[in-house]
Amino acid sequence: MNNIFIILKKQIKDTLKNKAVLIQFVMFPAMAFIMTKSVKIEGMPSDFFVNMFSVMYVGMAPLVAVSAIISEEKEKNTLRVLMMADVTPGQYLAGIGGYVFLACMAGAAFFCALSGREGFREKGLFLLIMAVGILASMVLGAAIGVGTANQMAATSVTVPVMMIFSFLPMLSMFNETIKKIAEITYSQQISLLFNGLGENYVRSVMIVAANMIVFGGLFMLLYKKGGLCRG
Amino acid sequence: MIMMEHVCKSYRIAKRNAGFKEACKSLFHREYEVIAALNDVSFTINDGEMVGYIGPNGAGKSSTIKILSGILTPDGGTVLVDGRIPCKDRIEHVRQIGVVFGQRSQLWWDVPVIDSFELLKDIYSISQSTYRRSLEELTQLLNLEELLRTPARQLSLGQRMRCEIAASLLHGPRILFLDEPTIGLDAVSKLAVRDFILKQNKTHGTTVILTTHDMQDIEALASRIILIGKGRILMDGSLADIKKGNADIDETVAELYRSYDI
Repeated sequence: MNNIFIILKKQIKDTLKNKAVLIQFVMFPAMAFIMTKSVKIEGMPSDFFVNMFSVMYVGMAPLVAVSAIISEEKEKNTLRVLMMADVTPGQYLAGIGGYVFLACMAGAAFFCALSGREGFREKGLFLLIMAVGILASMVLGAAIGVGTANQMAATSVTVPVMMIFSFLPMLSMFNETIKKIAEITYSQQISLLFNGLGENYVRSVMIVAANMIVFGGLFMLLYKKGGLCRG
Repeated sequence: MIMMEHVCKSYRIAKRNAGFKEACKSLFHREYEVIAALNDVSFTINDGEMVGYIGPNGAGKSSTIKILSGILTPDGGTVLVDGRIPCKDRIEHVRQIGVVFGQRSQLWWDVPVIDSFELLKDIYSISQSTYRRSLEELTQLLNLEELLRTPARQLSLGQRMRCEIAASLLHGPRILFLDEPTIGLDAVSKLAVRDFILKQNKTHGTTVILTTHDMQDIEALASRIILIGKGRILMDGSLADIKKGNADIDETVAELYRSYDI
């Protein structure tokens, strides 16, 4: 447990110096704030931009952050230093995972406040949906980070994956075919849940769970193949 | 004491021919070749010894260091470091060893060096008083005062190497593995690093295993030399055994490599 907190503490210090990761956490909340405060269109729900950017945030920030952190530490050899100092792969992943989760949940809390949701249940449900989405993205990001050899390879895989999950919910508003495809993604289900369009909550939860199982399986497969830190 | 007996390690390396067609083909079907990095390697190193572990590129030096430090698991044979199996008794083992890889940084790139030191202090559970004492000693000996608050990425190679060595010694290891610690350093930095390693060995009795291509390092530091080539130990002796009266150590070693066809 001690090592998990040490990694978490290290990651906080590291990210404060690493603008590329830091920007992921503040970009979407900042954009949601600016758009919500500056764009007023008649008939448009007041939380329109919050919901839109929340889904993008869920699909992008945790995924990019986790894959970037793992691949960067791999490339710069510091992951090996930690493994050599007897930090176990599980402790490392829990440490950076805990950090990314907390950082993303801080963003989620900001979105929640900005959305104007009232009442404990409304706010709690919003944060719960965000938390589930963030976890799914984190597992996918970890799979990419573990499966790629360096930061460049990780970025070239992360960008298309992140664009698919972040933008599909928005694009599905304009195209029926895309909507059908998007149905099977966790980000689309989260978008539906945010917008109160999830006709069947159970179905949405099952799809998100299925996504997480697939990402978890992918992570395990890649981890078994190469480990966290290749010798 | 360090003991390796009949240690073997091989790697599976992906191979493909040149050209776009071959690149596409390799996406679906890869061919592998098994390379024996270590082949029946045996040696013993006593406490407090300074050993130069030399050999040409790809000879198996780094693989040996990785096995001794517990990063790699050997395919066969016995490895014991102070009675412990490095890849199995990890927790106790890592507290007794320090490793410096000259070609790869072990400091966190974006944060000041002192933050990396603090992190290592936490990970190795070094008490505050021991940490203060070690840090003071290392800062003084390696002249780190001005570097501690600088991010690792802004340090010159020589400055970084001094910090790397300090990082590897913060927890007071009894054994130090140095994998090409003077690679790319200027003359002044090389001398400083060599001088420090000598002092560390004399004052703390630290066992040092040094791999390098710089024969001046070997001349200055190692009392014993182990030559490895194509994964096999080819020679184990003193510097005098290698030189045999020849004054130029580089020429002597080159001649040795040629004679063993490595």
